[in-house]
Amino acid sequence: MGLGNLSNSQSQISNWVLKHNLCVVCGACVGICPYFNYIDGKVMLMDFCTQETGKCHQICPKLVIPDVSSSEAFEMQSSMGTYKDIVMARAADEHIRQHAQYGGFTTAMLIYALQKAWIEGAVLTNKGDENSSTGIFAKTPNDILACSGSRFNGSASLSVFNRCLRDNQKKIAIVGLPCQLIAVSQMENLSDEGEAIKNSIALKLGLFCTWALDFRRLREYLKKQGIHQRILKYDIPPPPEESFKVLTESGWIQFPLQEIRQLIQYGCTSCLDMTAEASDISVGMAENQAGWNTVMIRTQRGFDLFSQAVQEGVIETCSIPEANRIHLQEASLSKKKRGFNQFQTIRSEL
Amino acid sequence: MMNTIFQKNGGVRLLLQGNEAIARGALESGVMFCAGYPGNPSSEIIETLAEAAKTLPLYVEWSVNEKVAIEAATAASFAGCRALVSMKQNGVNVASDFLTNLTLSGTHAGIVLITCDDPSGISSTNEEDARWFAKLADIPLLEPATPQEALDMMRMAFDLSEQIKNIVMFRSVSRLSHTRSDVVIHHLPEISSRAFFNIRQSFHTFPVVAKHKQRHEKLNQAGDQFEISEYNTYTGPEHPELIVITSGCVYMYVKEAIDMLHLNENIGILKIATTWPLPKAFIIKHLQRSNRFLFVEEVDPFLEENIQVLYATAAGQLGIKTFFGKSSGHIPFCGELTPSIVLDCLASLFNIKRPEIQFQTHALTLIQDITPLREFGFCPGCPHRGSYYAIKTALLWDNRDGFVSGDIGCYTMGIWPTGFNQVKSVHAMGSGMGLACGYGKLDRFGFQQPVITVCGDSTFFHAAIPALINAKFNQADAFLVVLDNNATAMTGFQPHPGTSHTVMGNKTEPVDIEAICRAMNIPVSVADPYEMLETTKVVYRMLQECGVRVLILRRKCALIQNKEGGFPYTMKVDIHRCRGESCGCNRYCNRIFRCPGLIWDENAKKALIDEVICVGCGICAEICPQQAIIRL
Repeated sequence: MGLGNLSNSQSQISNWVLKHNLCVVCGACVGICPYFNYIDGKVMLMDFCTQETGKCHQICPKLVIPDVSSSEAFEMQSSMGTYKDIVMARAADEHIRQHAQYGGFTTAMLIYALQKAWIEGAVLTNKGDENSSTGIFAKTPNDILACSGSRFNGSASLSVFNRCLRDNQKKIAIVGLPCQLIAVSQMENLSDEGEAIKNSIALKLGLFCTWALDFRRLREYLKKQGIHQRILKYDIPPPPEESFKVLTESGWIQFPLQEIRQLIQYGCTSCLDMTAEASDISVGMAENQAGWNTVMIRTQRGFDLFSQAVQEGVIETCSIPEANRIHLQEASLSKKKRGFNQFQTIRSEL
Repeated sequence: MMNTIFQKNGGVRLLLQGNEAIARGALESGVMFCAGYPGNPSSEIIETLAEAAKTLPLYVEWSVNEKVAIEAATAASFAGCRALVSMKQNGVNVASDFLTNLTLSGTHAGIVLITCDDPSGISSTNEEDARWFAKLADIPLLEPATPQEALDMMRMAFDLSEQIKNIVMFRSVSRLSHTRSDVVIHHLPEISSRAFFNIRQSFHTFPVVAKHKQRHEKLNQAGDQFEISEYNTYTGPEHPELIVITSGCVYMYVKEAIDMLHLNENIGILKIATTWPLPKAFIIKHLQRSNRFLFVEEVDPFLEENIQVLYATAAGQLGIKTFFGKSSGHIPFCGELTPSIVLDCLASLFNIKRPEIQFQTHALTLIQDITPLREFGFCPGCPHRGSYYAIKTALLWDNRDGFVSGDIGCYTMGIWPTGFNQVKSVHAMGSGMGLACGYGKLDRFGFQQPVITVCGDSTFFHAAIPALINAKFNQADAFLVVLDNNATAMTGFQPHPGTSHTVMGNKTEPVDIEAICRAMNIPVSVADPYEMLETTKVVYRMLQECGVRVLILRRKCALIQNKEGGFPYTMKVDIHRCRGESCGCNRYCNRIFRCPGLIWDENAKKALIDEVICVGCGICAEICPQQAIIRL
């Protein structure tokens, strides 16, 4: 990148993550210093930093090395991480469900947590304009509602979390992809400020993720397909449909999923986490159950909030079909194995 | 009170800069029309004449470029008014297309083309010897050695031009133009001519061969006069061991070196002031004095080559001679000459030790402890720093290996860290945009990198407009950023078509860059380089667009803002917020942004504002990650 000899914290990101295109645009390194910028779906190295004991390399999720020696080590039982319960859930409020990707669980939980002063605001991803979505710190129910729906690309929303930390914001909720929650765990484990970071977080809501798309390449692809309008919504209908749909002002347009898979962020291919194991509560789609979410309660904190929300009728639940649970488990396991093998391949190529 | 340079009376001794002496010489020759384009080391000639125009009956202008300048001045000559056109060596390139035709058509009233060459390219993009244009265009070339000669030879130049009816070239170099010495001035003439174009005359190049022949006849006439010119001299022993053949102000270096080496009994100096056409008989006569010759002249081996050709025509009569100079390696081909270089050369030729006092090294030892190391840098408050910061950021955001095609002005320093090394090419005035026309058509060969072309406001008018029209015409994908600081800042704030006054102080309606672009149906935006983040977003947005588009980054030169009342802020670093070297900053302001007003407190390990240097433009407040730089 023409920035000279990088033998320091930054160089671990630039020489490993950015140079080899492994960045998944989580935003953990953005906003803590002027050396990384995020714009339009991409994280860029701006200038050469000489800092040898900086934070960036300690929190980057792509610098976390899996603690297993072979993909055989992954087991079906633990493929979704630890959790207390797994159910199907949805927002009781129909209005929320209408705006939502699936069952509106995340939106309803956040609005509830905000109203109960459980949180003061939430780090979310907005819908973006002609440029990519970006992180925002939502402090009102309307802000939260405006962010509902899935994005399908990294938007560095952790940069907003970093800004919250700088502003001494407390009771922060973070909604993030698995990689982002791994980065947050790394931040919580920082030796000097980890404890303070931990204490400023009130809730970690993780989103299931198989992969995310490279925003700029997607935009380029859509342009080539003649779509220059703003994209209002994205969707991937459940198998066997094999399609990727975008909603523009002139309606839904469908593309073969196979072509879209070419636009997956390279860094996603070496990811081991499908169900956001480092969260309090993980949320995803419910297979064959339109209008519902699959929800995994992982921590006591998550359990307490979830139970309260159910008790007060904000969240409706039903049990998850066993076949769905097994499918999810299988999918998680296969992502782990695939991701680990890819990680080993990338590593050996360097 | 009238400036003493412009006094009517002669016979007075004044301390004059070389360029002032040239201007005075032109006035003494009855010059009426003067035009030029600013460029170091020539600028003071037109500026001095513009000052004179306040009290004397002459017209002076900064033209939009050198070609227009020589054309405008030539019109005056055609209409019977003595005219002068002044420029630096690069300017002669621009003027040369007209020049090489003009010398076929011939001129009427005396007209002199002054070139001030810049050996070492101290403030130029090249190191060029403009004398070749005299040979190329078959016109007389004069090279004064001292300010006094510069003044006196101006009259010779005008008279000669009028006699042979062709333009005369007059060459100065930086050290002559910018030295000061005592000069005896002469009376200023009363000017009585009226501009009138005699319609029985015509000035064109046809029939070409006949005109070409006539041009050589005129040159021969000049050569005849040069044979008896008092400015060509030989000084020294009757038959010295070595003769130094020299021209221009390096003549003085040669004299000094010979004195210092006590070689006055051994070396003669043949000083040629009329360097084209050569005074052949005069030179051949002096070639008989010795068998060894050293050429010492500034930039190219012009005399060296031409005199050796002349020698070849008379070698049978002269016998075997040995020539030293650039070709033999005794004098460097590149870089400005100094007395020290000449001293070294003569000492080696005579196999003696040169005196111990080495000017440069001695001066260096004297100042090295008290002079801090400095690099080229934009002034504090310079809008270009903000512009390049925004461009750099936008190009990185864009992430397609974009780069900047540069041009000539203070912003040329974008090739260095002060401009974040953004500029990847610089050549001639307006060439950045010309290159952009090419990059903008390479997409068919797989070229996908965005290119930003920068040019200043004066450069835009000078030569970027034709290239911009070309980009529009040929549908090139080109993004021009005009760094409009409302000044020809680098050469000393000369007015240009975008400013609202002329060099003679008349108010004029500024030419509107936006309107020019709009007239071509080119989309144009304007942003303020002091608003770096906003500007970055605009640059980034425009990088995503296609076709020809122009962004004007408009903010007056910091030095003009200073003159007009200064800057709004006093800057301060809140040391409690400043993170210093630690993670999250790592001295971003003084290590990366590098405004000279931002310094480092080695004891406190915090950033600091240098109150003497900082002008208070306030832009650095935008770049501090901790918002520790505060505008008070």
